[in-house]
Amino acid sequence: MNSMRLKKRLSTLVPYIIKVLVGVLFTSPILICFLYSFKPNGELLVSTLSTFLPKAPTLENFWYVVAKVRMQKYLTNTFIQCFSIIVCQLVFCSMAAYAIVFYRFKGKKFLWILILMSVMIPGDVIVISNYIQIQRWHLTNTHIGMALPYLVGGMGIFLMRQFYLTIPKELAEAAEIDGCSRLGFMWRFAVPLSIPSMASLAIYEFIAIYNRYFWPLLVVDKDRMRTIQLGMAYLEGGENGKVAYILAGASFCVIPAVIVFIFGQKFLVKGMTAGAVKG
Amino acid sequence: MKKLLMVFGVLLVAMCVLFAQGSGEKAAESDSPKTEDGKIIVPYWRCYTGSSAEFVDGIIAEFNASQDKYEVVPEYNGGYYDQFAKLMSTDRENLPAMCNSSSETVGSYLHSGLVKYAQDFIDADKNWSYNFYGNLVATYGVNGRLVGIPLGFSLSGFFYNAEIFEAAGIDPYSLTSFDRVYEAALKIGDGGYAKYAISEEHSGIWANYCFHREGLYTVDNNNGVDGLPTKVLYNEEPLKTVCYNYYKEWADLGAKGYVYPVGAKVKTALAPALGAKEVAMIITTNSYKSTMNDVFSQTGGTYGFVPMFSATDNGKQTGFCSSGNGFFIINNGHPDQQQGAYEFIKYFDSPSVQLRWMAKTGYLPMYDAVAQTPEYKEILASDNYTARVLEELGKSDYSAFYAFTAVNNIYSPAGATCLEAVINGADVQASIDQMCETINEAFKMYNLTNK
Repeated sequence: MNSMRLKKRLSTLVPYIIKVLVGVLFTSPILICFLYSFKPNGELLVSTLSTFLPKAPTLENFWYVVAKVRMQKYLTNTFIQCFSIIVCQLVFCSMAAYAIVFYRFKGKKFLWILILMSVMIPGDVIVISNYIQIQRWHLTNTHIGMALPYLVGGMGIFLMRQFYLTIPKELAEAAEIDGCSRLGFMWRFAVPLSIPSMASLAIYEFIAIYNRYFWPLLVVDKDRMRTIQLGMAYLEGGENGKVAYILAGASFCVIPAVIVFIFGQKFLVKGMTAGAVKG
Repeated sequence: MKKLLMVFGVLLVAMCVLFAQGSGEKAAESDSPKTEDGKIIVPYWRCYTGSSAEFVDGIIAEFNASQDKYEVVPEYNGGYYDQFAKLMSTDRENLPAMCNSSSETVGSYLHSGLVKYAQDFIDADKNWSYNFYGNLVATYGVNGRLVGIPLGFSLSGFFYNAEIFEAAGIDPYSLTSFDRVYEAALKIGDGGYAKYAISEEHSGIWANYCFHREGLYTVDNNNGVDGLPTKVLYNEEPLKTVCYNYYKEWADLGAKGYVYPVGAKVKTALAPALGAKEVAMIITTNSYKSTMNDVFSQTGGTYGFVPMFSATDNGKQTGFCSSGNGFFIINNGHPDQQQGAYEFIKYFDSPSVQLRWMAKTGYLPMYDAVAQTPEYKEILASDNYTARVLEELGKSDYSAFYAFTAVNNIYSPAGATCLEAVINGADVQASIDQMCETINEAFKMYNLTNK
C-alpha cells in the first residue's frame, strides 16, 4: 500500500521537478545576467560556477547605466514607437483581414498572395530601400519615419484573418438579415470576439518593436530620438568596455519585455494557434 | 468610371511627387548648418561607445572650446559595418563630414567613393606635416598617400601568462613564427602547464596579419592596392604551402584539445581564463590592455604581450601591420565641414591628446614626437611590456599592411570559419578551399556592382 502511495507521489513529483529544472535552465541566462550585474567588473571577470553569487553586491553598475544612458528618454521614445505602431497595426490589420474574409471583390486572391509574399520577404532585405525612401521624404530623426514601414504588416493581417475565418459565415448572414451592415457586424461582433487575437498581435508587435536595433539605427542620428536598444549599445564599449555595465543595462532593458510577456503569454499562444484547427 | 480613373491618376501623381521629393543626389556645396554663435557644425559619426566614447567626446568639447570656427558634433551610428552600411545608403546631403573605423576597413572606404583623400588636406596645409610610422602610412595609404588618418596605433599579437611561460621554460619573445608558437603550445599542453595552450579572439584577421608579416600578399592586385581584388591567393604559391601548414598546425592543436573553445570573447572568457592560468596565450590586439589589467589585479600574476609572429621562420619579416582605428573625411559636399573635420583630426593626433589616449587604451605612439616625450617615458616605466614591444617594432621595416578589400565583413569571417572548422577536425584543404570560394564569390559580387 505504502509503495503504491510512494509510486503515485513520485509519478507526480518527478515530472514536476523536471519541469522546474527545465524552467531554471531556460531562465538561467536572465538570472545569471541579473546576479552578475551586482558584481564589480573585476570580480565578474574571474567568476566561476562556485562563485556564482556576488561576494560584495554593488549597485555601482546600475548607477553607471543610469548616469551614462538616458534611460528615461530612450524608454519614452521606445514606448511612443510601440504605442503608435501597435494602434495602427490593430486598426489596419483587422480591417484588411476582415475585408479579405467577409467581402467578395475582384483580385482578392491576388491581393492575399501579395500579402503572404510580404510576410515571406525577410525584413533585412528591404531595410535599406526603406531607409532611402524615408530619407527622401525627409523623415529621418522623426517618430513617423521610424514607425512608417511598420504601421501595417502582412503578419498582422494573416493573424487576424486566421481568427476571422473561425467566425461562422452564418452569423454574419443572420446579422445582415436583421439589418446590420457589414461594417456594423465588424464593430459589433467581429472586433469584440477577436480581442484575444488582437492582444496576441499587440504583444507580438511590442516584442518586435522593443528589440528592434538596425532600423532605428538607420533612421536616427540624434541622441534625443534614440530607442532603448540603441542606448544599450552605448554600454558595449569596445575593447575597453566593462561587461558588468552591459549586464546592468541588459537587466534594466529586459524588464518591460518580460513583464509584457508574462502577462500576455496566454494571448500570444492563443493568437498563434487561432484558426489552426477547424471545428 | 471616369471619376475613378481621375482619382487614381491624381493619387499616382501625388505618390510620384512624394517619392521624388528630396531624391536629388546633388547636395549644396555651401550653406553648412551653423550654431547660434556662427560656428560651422561638423557632424562626426563615431563608432566608439562606453568610456572610449566619453574620452573622445571630452576631446571634442576641448576642441570646440579651443577655437571659434568649428563645432564638432558626435553621433553614434553603430559599429564598423553598421556604420558603413548606413554611410553607403545615406544621401549625400545627410552624410557626416567625418567618421572613424578600424584599419581593416580602409579598403572599404577607399573603394566606396565616400571619402576624400586625407592626403589632399595635408598637402594643402603648410602648418602641419605628419611623421607617422611607416606601417601606419602603409595601412592607411595607397602608394604613400593617406586615405584616412590614423587616430591610434594598435598591434596584433598575443597576450601570455608569464608564470605559465616561465614554468614551461619558454621565452615568449622567441615565438617569432607560428611554427614556434605551435611547438610552444605543444610543450605547454603536453607538460600540463595549462589546460589550454592557446586561444584566439575569433576572427580571420590574425592569419592575414601573420601572412602579411611574412611578406606574403593574401589578395591579388598587389594586395588590393592596384584596384579591386578579384581573388584570394591562399591556394596559390608561395602562400599556398605556408597557408596550409598554418591551418594544419591549428588542426593538430585542436585535435589534441590544446585550443580554447572557439568563439569565446576576450572580455568575458579568454582574459579571465588567462588570469586563472587556464589558457597560456590569447591571440588578439594589445588594445585589451585595460581588460587584462582588470583581470590580473584580481588574480595576481603577470601578463605580457608579444607582437604578431609570421607564419614560418623562412619568411621575410616585413614589419608589423598596424591595427587600430583611423579617421576618414567624407565627401559630403561641404568643403567647410570637411576642413573642420581635418582641423579636429590634427587636434586629436596632437601629442597632448595622444598621450592621454594611449594611457587610456594601451595604444602605441604613432610618431616619434610622442614616443620621446617625458610623459610617455613615464607611462613606459610603469608598464610591463610596451617598451619591449617598441624595441621589436624598432627592429622591423614598415612595409607590411593589411590587404585592401572592400568586403572585409566577409573576408575576415570566412577566415574565422576556416579556422574553426580545422580546429574541430574538418579537412584542412577542404576548409581552405571553402574559405577561398566564399571570399572570391564576395569579390565577384562586389566587383559586379562596383565597376
